[in-house]
Formats: sequence, structure tokens, C-alpha cells
Amino acid sequence: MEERSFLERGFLDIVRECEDEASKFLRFQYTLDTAFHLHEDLAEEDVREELDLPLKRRPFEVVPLQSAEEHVPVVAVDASVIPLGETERGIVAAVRVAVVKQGSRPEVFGPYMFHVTPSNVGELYNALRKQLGLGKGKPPPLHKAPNRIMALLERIAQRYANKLVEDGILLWDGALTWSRTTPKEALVKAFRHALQRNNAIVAIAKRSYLRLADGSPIPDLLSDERRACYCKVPLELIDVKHQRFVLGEVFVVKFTPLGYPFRADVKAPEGGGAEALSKLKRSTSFRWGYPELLIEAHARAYFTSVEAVSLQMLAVKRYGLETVPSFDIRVHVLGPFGGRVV
Amino acid sequence: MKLLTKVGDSVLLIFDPKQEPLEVGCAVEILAPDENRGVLAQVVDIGPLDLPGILTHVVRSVALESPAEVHAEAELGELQARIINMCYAKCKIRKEIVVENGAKKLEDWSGYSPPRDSKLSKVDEGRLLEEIVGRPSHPVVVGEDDSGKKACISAYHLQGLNIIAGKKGTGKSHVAKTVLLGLIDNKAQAVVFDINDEYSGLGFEEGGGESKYHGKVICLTPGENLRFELEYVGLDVFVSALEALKLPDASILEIMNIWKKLEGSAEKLTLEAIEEAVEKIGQSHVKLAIKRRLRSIKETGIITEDPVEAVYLEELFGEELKDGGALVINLKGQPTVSMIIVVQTVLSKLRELLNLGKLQRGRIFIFAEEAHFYLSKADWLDVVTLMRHLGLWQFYITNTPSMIPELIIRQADNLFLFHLDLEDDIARVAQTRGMDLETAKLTARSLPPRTFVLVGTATKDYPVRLRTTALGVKTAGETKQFFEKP
Repeated sequence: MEERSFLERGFLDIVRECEDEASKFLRFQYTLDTAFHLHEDLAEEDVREELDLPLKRRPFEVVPLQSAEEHVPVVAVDASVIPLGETERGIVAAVRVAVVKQGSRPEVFGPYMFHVTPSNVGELYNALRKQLGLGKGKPPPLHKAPNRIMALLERIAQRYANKLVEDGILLWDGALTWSRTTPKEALVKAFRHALQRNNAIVAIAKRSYLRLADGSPIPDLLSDERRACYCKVPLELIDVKHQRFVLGEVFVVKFTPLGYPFRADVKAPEGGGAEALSKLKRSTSFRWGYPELLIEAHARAYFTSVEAVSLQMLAVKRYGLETVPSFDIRVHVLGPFGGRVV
Repeated sequence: MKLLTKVGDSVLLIFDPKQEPLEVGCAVEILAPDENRGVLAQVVDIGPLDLPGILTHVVRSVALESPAEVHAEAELGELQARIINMCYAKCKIRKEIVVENGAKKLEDWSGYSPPRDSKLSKVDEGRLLEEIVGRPSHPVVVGEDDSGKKACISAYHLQGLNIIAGKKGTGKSHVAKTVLLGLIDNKAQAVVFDINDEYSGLGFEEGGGESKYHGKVICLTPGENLRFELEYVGLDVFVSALEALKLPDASILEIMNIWKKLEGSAEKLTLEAIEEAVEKIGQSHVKLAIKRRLRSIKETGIITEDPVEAVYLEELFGEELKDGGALVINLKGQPTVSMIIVVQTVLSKLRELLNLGKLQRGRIFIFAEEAHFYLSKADWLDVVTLMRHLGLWQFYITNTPSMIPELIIRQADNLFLFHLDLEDDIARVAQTRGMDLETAKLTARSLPPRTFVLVGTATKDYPVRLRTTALGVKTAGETKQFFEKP
């Protein structure tokens, strides 16, 4: 199925087909004062481990970042997932993906609600893998399923975004690092598709666990710089055991003189990572050094607490669930002694 | 609708405006599920609920104003709108509800706090008024509730001092007319000081034909069909008129002497007779000053020497209005001196006639629109304090309640409160019985046009929110306007 159709209807069709019934619903208690963006806040631990790549020695060369003369089309993709509650059979969660192309009407797919249980997690997970052209895989454990489903749906949206531009830049959130969440094959296919349309992929991580040998995070390399600049991290400086996870050129970049430095992984045609960064600088605006388009994609994807509560109401209504009182043992045992009180 | 908190005499409710619309002034019954007990609370403020996390949601929707192509769960938008639009209602506890043998009874609030799982329901104002007032022996329609049902109070409770306050165009004169007609239906008599010629149409139906009040509403215009003999006016009122014309005290003393001499003589007390006597005053500046003032009074046309064209209140009330009715005195466009002579003559005559038993005590109601235009503070206080004892009941209708002396406001028995904006005005009406500053502040500013809160003896101090009701008679004045469209 073509990616856009899948995002628009296909995913929900699969969800409906393999939906499991439930009768009781334990809502997750949100403090309702935060927005939810699972990409960062509830990311899986294994991702964190894989990103934790100590560098053997300090990279030194800092290069000024000039704006390219050529303006290129840019499209940004971001996704978010939120677990809404538990049933006696599994987890109810919602996912949303945003695709924002410069100068065009943004497209938002979701929120789509799904009920994932041990009996349908495989079907759901492999349907997404199939859409990405990947073979069947072992389904994730239930508690990690919402995040994995979101990650795969995001990859599908990235493929769709690739078709929206040519000779342009695809802005992703995160790093070009493969993990259990994102199989290497999926990334490699994405690179190939981008190359076919002469697009560069720039993945920007707001937080990076890539550290220098002395333990400092790599964005610190440019924190004292007062100009737009970048610093390429040679792959050979990364521990050999970790090198295999990194699939693009790794930069620390400061797009604007007063902005923050970010880790940027780039996969550009003919290895032109630095050139892609120059084009990106020329082609989009930045807020605190972070691409505005990616901010918009993030803003359209994340879940506000109001949406979380609305989705919980929808879950109860759609599945005819009876809400059962939540019981947080931590609150009951540790509440009076400084434990979390919701 | 759910009870969230209670602090002092205030309760905070959470409600979904789509499912249970509430408005300021609405009554809400809060009944404990098992205790046979509850409270009756009144909404004084409504607003969007400050949900934790709503700031992020609103900021995002403002920041991302450009519309996106969204493919999402179909029902989500509606559910989300419900949450976003969830409201709070701040309510004041007004009464306690006691359930005995299945029947609910309203009592004064004892301080009881209803539990959070109480059952909440909106109470229909008309029914509430019935519950509070009971079945009135002398019903007077004052308005209607949200369902359009007429709301009645008893004329009994209007026997006192009543204030109708509200911004221009909110409907206060309409309510005054509604009450006036209700009183006439109950055979009461009234005098209306009509400053904007709004009551003269009451004898006619909206379509133009005669209404059932035709003949029961007599319209008098000073200088035209309202004239008094000088003796009928009396020295005190005459002096008041001269004071209003800023005649110096020495000159007033001269006039008083002349008046007394003429009164003791065989000669009839007329303006001409006074003028002739003034000519004999030696001091020319005193003479000139008095003559100028007398000319001003003469020009109003209020004073007549002809007893045939003179008006006698005792005759009007004793004959033409003997079965009840209103004397509407049209003060529109009248000079101040005319207003003073007319109003004070009428009031002093009423006092005299009531004292002498020539008019039935307790049957007459005064309706005074914007009384501060023609009553000094001292006269006003006099009217209020003395006349009540004579059974002359009063309605003061104003868009500037801050001009009503505090003493009068504090003595008011009933308040009909329409929309008010100004702090001073609100603070003043807050001093009436059954009202408090917080309620007045929050309520007065949020009342829509043609909606009012009635509080006082007529409602056992419960502020009932009502709307004005159609009367079927001409209620507007005949102001000619050059520009006919906005």
C-alpha cells in the first residue's frame, strides 16, 4: 500500500481488524500539567544504551557554518505515542505522526487509538514491518509495544515525506542509529529511497548520549562558540563496538550564533554532510538554533494532557469499558514519605 | 455537574455547558444522596475551567494557527471540545434544603456542607419562586423564568421601599410598568413621575387599540392638563421652587411675609396678588429678583387661578381611579422648576390627604424615575421616612443607583437588579437586603439585557433571576427620531 494511504486509512484498518475486546479499563493517571512526547520522555532504555557511545578522544576541528546559496525544499517528520491505560488484556495507546513540508499545508495522521494485547501485538507489529518491506519479526514485549508501533509508523511517514521533495532535505527527530526500535534494514531502505530522489536526511537530536572520553556530552564541544559552526565527529573516534550502530555522518552543529548546539546525523548523497547542513541553514528558519519546521512537526505530534484525557474518554466509549479505580502501590506505600502523589 | 469545593458560603461546581447549561443567577439544588439534606446555591460566576495543562493546549492551538490536514479518530474532536469547554460555576449558598417525608422544604442555611457525591440539578426559577413565595393572595407578575413561565410575587411584599436599578436599555422601566399594571390589577393606586414619557402608552395595546388599562391610566403633563391653584401648592412647595430658582434668603423671607398676609386677607391667593404686593417692596433689587422668579414660575403654566382647570388629587383618586389606576405625570422636557413644583406639590398633597384620611392609607404606590433629578437628598429622605408611616409605598427606578442616598438603599425592601457596570453603582445596590458585594459585583456585570435579579422580602431574600415579560400594551414612549435606522 502506498505510504500516504497507509497513514490515512491502512493503519486504522489493521487496528480494527485485529482489535481485541476488553471490559475493564484502568486509566493511567496523568498529572495533566505536562505534554506527552514519548519520543524523549518515555523512550525505551535500550535506545539510550545504544546511543551511549563514548568517544576515544576529543575531535578538534570546528568549522564555520555558512548558508548555502541554493535554497532547497525541506520536510520534517515527527511522531508521538501515549499510553492511555491498561485493560485486563493489554494496553490502550494512541499514536500521531506529523509531516510538515515548507510552504505546504501540514499533514497530521492521528491520533489513532489502538488496543494492543499479547494476542494481537504480533499481527499489528508485523503489519507495520510489512508496510516497510521488512520481514516478519519477533513482536516486542507488551509494555514496549506502543513505542515500537510509533517508531515504525514514523518510518512510514518518513518514507512518505521523502516522496514530497526532490533534491531537498528530510528532517528527522533523533539520530541515525539503529536499534531494536528501528531495525537497521528500515534505515538502510530509507537512505536508499532518499538517495533515489537526491534528498539528504538530517536527523537532529535534542539530547545525545554520545559522550567524549572525558564524559562530557558532545554538544558541549560547541557551547563556547559564538558563531554558526559545526564539528564533525569522525566515526573512527567512536568505540569500535559501537561504531556499527551509527549509520550516518555525525556532527555537532550550531545553526545560529546564539542558538544551542545539537547533534546532527546526516546521510547525504555522496557524503556531503556538511553541504547538507549549509543547505538546511539556508532553507529554513531556526528557533534557538533548532529548525522551525521540526518544531512545528513536534508541536503537531505531541499530546497535550487535554488530548490524553479526551482519548481516555474515547477509549471508554469505544470499547464500552468500565473504568476501574487506579491503584498505585508507590503512592500508597511511599506517599507519606516523599513518594509521588498523583 | 459535580461539586468540587466549598469555602465559606461559596461552592465551586464543575459542569459541561453543552449538557447542562448554567447561567449567572441560576439556582442549583445540591442534595446529599442519603442524608435527606442539601443546599440551594445560586450561580454568581461562570468561566472556563482552568484545567492543568490547558495552557500548553491553548498555546499550541494559537501557535499553529495555519490549518493542517488532519486524519484522526472521528469522535475525538467532540470529546476534546467537551473537556476544553468544561466550566466552573461559583455559587453562593442561599438556603438549606430539608427533606421530610419526601417533601423538600427551604430553610435558612445552617452552615451545612454537602458531600462531594451530592446530586446536583438546575432548579427552574419560576418553580423556585413558587416554592419560596407560595401561592400569593395578591399576585403580581414581575417577569418570567427561562422556560417562559410567568413569575409572580405578592403585592403584599411590595408595600415598602423598592429599587429598580440597571443600565440604560436593560429593561428596568419595563419591569416597573409590569409591576405597576400588576398593582392596578390588584386595585392599587399609583403616581408615576415619568421622566421620559414612557408610561403614557399603557392605556393602549401594542396594535393601537385601547388596552384594559385605558381609563385606569391618566396622563398629566404640567402646564397642559396639570395645573394647580397656588393655595393648593402651598407655601413650602412655593418656597422650594423659589430656592431652586436661586432666590436669595432675604427675598424668600419677603415672599413668605406676603404669602402669609394674603392668606389672612379676604383676597384670593394668586400669582398676580403676590406680584402686586411685590411691587410695593421698597428695595428695588429685592423687588426685581422676586419678580424675575415669579415670571419663571408663571411661564411654566403650572399655576392657575381657574378652579375648573385645576387638578385636585383627591378627586382623581376618589373618583376616576377609585377602582385602582395610575396617575402618570409626564416630566419629559420640563424645566427643573416645573418638576420641583409638580413633584413636591403631589407629594405634600398626598401626605396631607393621607394624614387627613381623605385617601386610603397603604393603597398608593409612587413610581419615581430618576428621582435625583427632582428630589433633593433631604426631601428624598423625608419622603422615604415619613411617607412609609403613612402607607405611601415607593419604587425608585434609576440607571444611577449611586445617586440614591445610602440610607434609602439600606431601607429598601426589594431590589430589582439589572445589568450595571460601574463600581460605585454596584457597591451601592450591594447594600440592599439579601444582597452582598460579591454577588452584586459578579451578578450585575453578567446580566444580559432584559434579565434581572429580584431580591428582598418578595423572595424571602433569595435573589431570583428572571427575564422581563411581554405586556401586550404600549410600553415605549413616542420619541421622534430623525435617523430611523442604526
